[in-house]
Amino acid sequence: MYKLFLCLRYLRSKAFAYFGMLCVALSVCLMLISVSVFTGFLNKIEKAAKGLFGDIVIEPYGERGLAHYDEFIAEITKIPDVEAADPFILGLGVLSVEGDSHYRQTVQIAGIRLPSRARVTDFEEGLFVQEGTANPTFDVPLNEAVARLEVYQKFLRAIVEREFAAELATLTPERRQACFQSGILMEHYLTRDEQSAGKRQLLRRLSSAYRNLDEAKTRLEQAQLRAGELAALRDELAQAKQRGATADEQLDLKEKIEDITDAVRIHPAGNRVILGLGIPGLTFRTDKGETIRYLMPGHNIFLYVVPLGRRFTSEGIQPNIGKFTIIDDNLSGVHSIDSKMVYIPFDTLQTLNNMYEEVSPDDPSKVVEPKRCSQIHVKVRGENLTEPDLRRTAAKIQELWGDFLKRHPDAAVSDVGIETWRQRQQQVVEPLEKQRTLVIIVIAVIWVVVVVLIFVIFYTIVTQKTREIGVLKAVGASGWGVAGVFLGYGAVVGLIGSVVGTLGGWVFVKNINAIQDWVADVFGYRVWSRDQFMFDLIPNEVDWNAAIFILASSILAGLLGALLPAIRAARMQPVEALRYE
Amino acid sequence: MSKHREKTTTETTPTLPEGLVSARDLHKTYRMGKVSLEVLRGVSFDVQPGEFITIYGHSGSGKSTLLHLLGLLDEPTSGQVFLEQTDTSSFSRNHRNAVRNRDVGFVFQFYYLLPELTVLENTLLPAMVEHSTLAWPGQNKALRQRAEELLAELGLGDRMKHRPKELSGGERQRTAIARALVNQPKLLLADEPTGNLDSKTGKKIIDVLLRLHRNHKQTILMVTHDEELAQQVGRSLYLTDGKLVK
Repeated sequence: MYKLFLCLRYLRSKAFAYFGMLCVALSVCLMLISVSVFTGFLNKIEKAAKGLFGDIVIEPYGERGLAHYDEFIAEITKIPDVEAADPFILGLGVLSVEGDSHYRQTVQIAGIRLPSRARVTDFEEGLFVQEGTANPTFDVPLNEAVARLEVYQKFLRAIVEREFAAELATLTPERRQACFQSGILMEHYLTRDEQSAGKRQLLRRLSSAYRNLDEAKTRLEQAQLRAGELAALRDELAQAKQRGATADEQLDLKEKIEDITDAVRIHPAGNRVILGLGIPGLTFRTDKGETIRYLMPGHNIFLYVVPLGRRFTSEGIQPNIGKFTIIDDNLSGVHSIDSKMVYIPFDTLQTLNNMYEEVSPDDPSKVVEPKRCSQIHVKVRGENLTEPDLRRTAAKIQELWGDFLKRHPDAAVSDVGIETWRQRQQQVVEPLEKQRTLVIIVIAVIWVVVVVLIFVIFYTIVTQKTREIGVLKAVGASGWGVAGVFLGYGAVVGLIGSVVGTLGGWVFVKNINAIQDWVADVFGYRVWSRDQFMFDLIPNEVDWNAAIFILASSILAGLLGALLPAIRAARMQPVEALRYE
Repeated sequence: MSKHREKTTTETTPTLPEGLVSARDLHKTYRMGKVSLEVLRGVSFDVQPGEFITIYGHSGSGKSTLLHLLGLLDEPTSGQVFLEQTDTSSFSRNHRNAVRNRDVGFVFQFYYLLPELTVLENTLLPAMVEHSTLAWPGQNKALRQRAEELLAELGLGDRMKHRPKELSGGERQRTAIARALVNQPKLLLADEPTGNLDSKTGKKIIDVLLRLHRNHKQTILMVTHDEELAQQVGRSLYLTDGKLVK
């Protein structure tokens, strides 16, 4: 009984023990944070790479692309390991905003097929209007977009209410109401002379977002109202074509359709775009890490596509221009993707990127240039696939490609790489894995330091308690019994320290982004740069496997550190212990 | 010890000493490097059950060493210690621990109370050593009652929840006596119990020991350097140059 009793009693009254616990807690906390962030980072890269481009990517070197891709996809999807495959075009271009003659931004333009892309990647997970839907589309029903914007409006309002609570409190109910009806009034009523420049800027940005949201919503609502009229005219045009109406008659109908389309300015499904959420100038981030949109579903943009799909002429490159209505946006979490990528329908980009099919002017049945895509993305069947699993499937595809190329020599004019996500990301993943190994080595050193620290603490405690050890032996305690007191003490120091450290680490990791924001606010220093680390947010998932290991090894550290002092206590002769000065 | 005694009863021969505790030709030599210090040079005597014996002698005469040998805290260089006719040199380490726990109670000059524990907890320490964690809940109530009664008898009824640092010297020594008695030992060994106390308080402690001897027939062996004190109790022995002189 005395072992447990004394162990607990010593814990209560020895400042040294608290110091030991603190050491264990801090080191456990440190270990858990570094391992969790690193593992989280690697997992994030894996998820992002797979989520964006599938498990395996088939890509020819150069920009000429792959022809006969649908036939090849049909062949590879016959491989039992392959769950789905989808073509993809990657183009370059410049984005400008309708009604804003100043804004220009270079972007990467992805031509994707919806909803089939959702079967190959996690594209649907990051959508705004169609969040998590199994079958995302460019032809989103406008009422869905309106409903989403209404929810978003409430979110924006909540941010304004949070950030400008003091200013709102001074307003009459009518004025307060007016603030949320118009971005202009919001800025007018809430601006105060004493406000900081940062706060004024925030208000300007929020009111601008609020104004744009109103405008986008009105456009979508108008388009909905005139949708019936437009559909009737389109039917009429189709019928006119069928019965062979005159060109003038058809032109007349086309003009009427264009008039309405121009008036409501919502382009049809082929000319809709999903923006990456994070394109510079089209969004901003609040201090709390919320991304606020300036442009949203309902707004129109222009894309000037640099046509890379055909040989350039000696006169230089002429961009192909497309008008698009934003219908959704996508947040992949990968900063380099979200700040650069816009997604448009595959067929539309195929045309704009000059990858369309070209037939002989003399014989329209003769294809001179087959239509092409930039890449094929493949999803492999199964969960938790390892790299060797994926490489096996990639090898099967490679074999199939060899055969395919013999039958279709024009399928690619250059070498084709068939690589797993990991091979493509090797430059990123390998150094990270090496860094993680380095961190584990550092952690092992920390662990040894903890053992030594606990040893020193317990050696001191045992020395201080020499006479008490003598008393315990005088009243009949055995050597191992006395050792048990100190071993139990060490284990409890390790246990409490590591539980506290794990909890601390867990809280820290969960709030790591808020902590970083706070550090950036107070000290003006940001550890995690979005550009450098690719992701918007620091990974904040605790690696529980590592946590259990760290927890167990810290208890072991406590035991190990206390072991030698405990043995010393066990071997003490009672008389010598009692005489100790 | 009682268990051991039962086991060895059949081995007992008439030549064995008959005291509760007996020393036979005890020698103890300490070696410090090349120098040897012979502290005890053949000490023999018996303590009968219910006796109160004092051993007095000057500082460094080997009184405490003798007490430690009799209480199985230390082993003699040569000679034997018998407990109830059993030669203790044959005891295993665990058996020696059990004897110290059950049959012997120690009172030290400097009390040696555990500072983290209250008076009651200090008193219960030998009982906690005796019972395992699993057995403790079943015994806790009775043992606690025994400790409380003992403390009340020693005048510490209102001090049970106090820490040693909150007590006077006399109170500390009485707590140490309670601790020594909680397991109802056959033999109480007191090593200069008044040596760290003023004479008035020291006398009170001696009164406590005398009362225990009188009322409970407690066998007590006390060492002291105070000859006057030694004369106050039944039998006193004088230890000088490592030998006993009556």
